Amino acid sequence: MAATFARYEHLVDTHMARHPLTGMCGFHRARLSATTIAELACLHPLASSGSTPLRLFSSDQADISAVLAGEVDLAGRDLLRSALARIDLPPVGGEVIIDARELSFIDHQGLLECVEHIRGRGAATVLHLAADSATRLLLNLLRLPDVRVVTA
Amino acid sequence: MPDGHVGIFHETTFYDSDEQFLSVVLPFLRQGVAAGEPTVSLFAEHNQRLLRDAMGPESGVEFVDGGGHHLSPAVAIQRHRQILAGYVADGATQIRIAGEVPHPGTGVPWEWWARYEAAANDVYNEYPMYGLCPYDLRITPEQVIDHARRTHTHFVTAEGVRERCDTYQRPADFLADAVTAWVEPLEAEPPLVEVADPAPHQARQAVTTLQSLARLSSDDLNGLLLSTSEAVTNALVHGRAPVLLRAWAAPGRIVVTVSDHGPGPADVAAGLMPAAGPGGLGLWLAHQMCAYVSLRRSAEGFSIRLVAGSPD
Repeated sequence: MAATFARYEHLVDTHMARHPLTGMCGFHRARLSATTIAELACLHPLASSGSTPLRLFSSDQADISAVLAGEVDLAGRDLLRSALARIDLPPVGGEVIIDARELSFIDHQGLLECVEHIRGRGAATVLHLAADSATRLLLNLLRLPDVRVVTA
Repeated sequence: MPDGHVGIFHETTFYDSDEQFLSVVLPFLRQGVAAGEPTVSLFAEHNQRLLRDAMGPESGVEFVDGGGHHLSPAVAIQRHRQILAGYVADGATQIRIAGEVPHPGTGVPWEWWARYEAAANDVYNEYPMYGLCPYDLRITPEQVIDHARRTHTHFVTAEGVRERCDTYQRPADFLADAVTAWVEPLEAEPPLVEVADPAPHQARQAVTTLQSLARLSSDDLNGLLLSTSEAVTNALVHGRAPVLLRAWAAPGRIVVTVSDHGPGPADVAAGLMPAAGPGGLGLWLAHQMCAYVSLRRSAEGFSIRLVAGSPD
C-alpha cells in the first residue's frame, strides 16, 4: 500500500515541479508508523522537521533527473533504497543527473547505493555538488569510473 | 632470494652509515637491473640522492619519491599495488623494490606503519615482489627495530649475508599484541564531548561543536566528520553495545575516539585495504581522510582513534 501511494506521491511531485501548482500533504501520525511517514515524506521537496532525514524529489528543471537533499547515513539507508526503487530517474543522454547541492551528508554506503542503483539502470551518475561538499572527498578516494561531478 | 619463491619476499637490513646503506642497497638494485627486473628505489631525499649518485645516469632504476609515496599506509599500499600491477601487466615475473617507511626517527608515529610492515606480507603476496626495507640505526627507535625483525621473513647483514629472521611472526600473530597506540596528550584531559550510543548524525553534530575551537580546514573537518560517521556506523553494525563517542580539541586539532565492546576487525589489513572484511571500506576511507588513525584492542573491547589536523 505504502509503495503504491509513494509512487503516486512521486508522480504528483513531478507534475507539480513543472507546473504552476503547489500542494501540501498531511499524514496522520497516529494512523501511520514513523517508517511509513518517512517513506512518504522523503518524496517531497519540503517535509516537517524530524519526519525524514533525507528527501529525493523531482526538479523543476527537465535536465535534472532528481534532487537528493538532507542527510544519508545508517539511519536513512533503507529509506534511500525504497525511495530509489519508487521514483523514475530518467536518464539524460545515458546519464542520470542528481542535483545534490542540498545534500549535507552522505556516507560511502549511501553513495554506493545510489550509484549502483543508477548503474543497474544502465546509466552513469552525474552529481551536482556544492563547492564545499564532503562528498567530493569520498569520490576522490572511491574513484568510481561511472560518476561525474559538476560543481555548483 | 631462493629460486622458485612465489609471492612477496620481504627482507630488512639495518645500517649505521651512508657507506653501509649503499653496501647493501646498491647490490640489491644492481642485481635487479642486471636480471632485467623492474627495479624501484623508494627512499626519501637523502638516501635517494646517495643512490642516484652511486648508480649514475641511465641506471635502469625507477626512482620514486618516498616522501610522497609514504603519506599514509593506505595510500602507500594503493600506490605500491598499482606499481606492481603495472609491471606484471607489462610481463614482469620478478620485481624489486627497496624503500624505507616512516617512523618516529623521521618524525612520524610508528603505530600504523607497524601494521603496514606486517600487512605487507599479505597485501603484496599476490605479486612477485622482492622487497628490501632498510632501517637507519642512528635514528630508529629500538621498538621499531624489534618490529622490523618480527615483520620481515629475512634479514641482510652489513656484509651482505642473507639470513632467515627467526623472530618473524605471521601478520595476525604480530598484530594480536605487538602494536601499541602512540600517546595522545589531549586524551589525558577530560573529553569535551562524550555521547553514549550515538546515532551517526548525533556523532557528527557532537564533533562539529568542536570546530569553533579547532578551526580545522574545510577538508580536514569534512574528512573527520565522514570518518566519525563511518566509525560509529561500524561500531553499531559490527561491534557490540554500548558504543561510546569521545572527542577532544585544541586549536588546529580534533581527536575522536569511538569504542565498543566487540573484538574489533579481524582482518590484518583492516583500514589499509579497501576490502578488508566487514566495515573495511569505511575504515579504509578513514585511514586516508584523517591525519592519523589508531586501532586499539583491550579486555574492554575495541576502540578507534581518529585525529584531524596537525598530527602532534
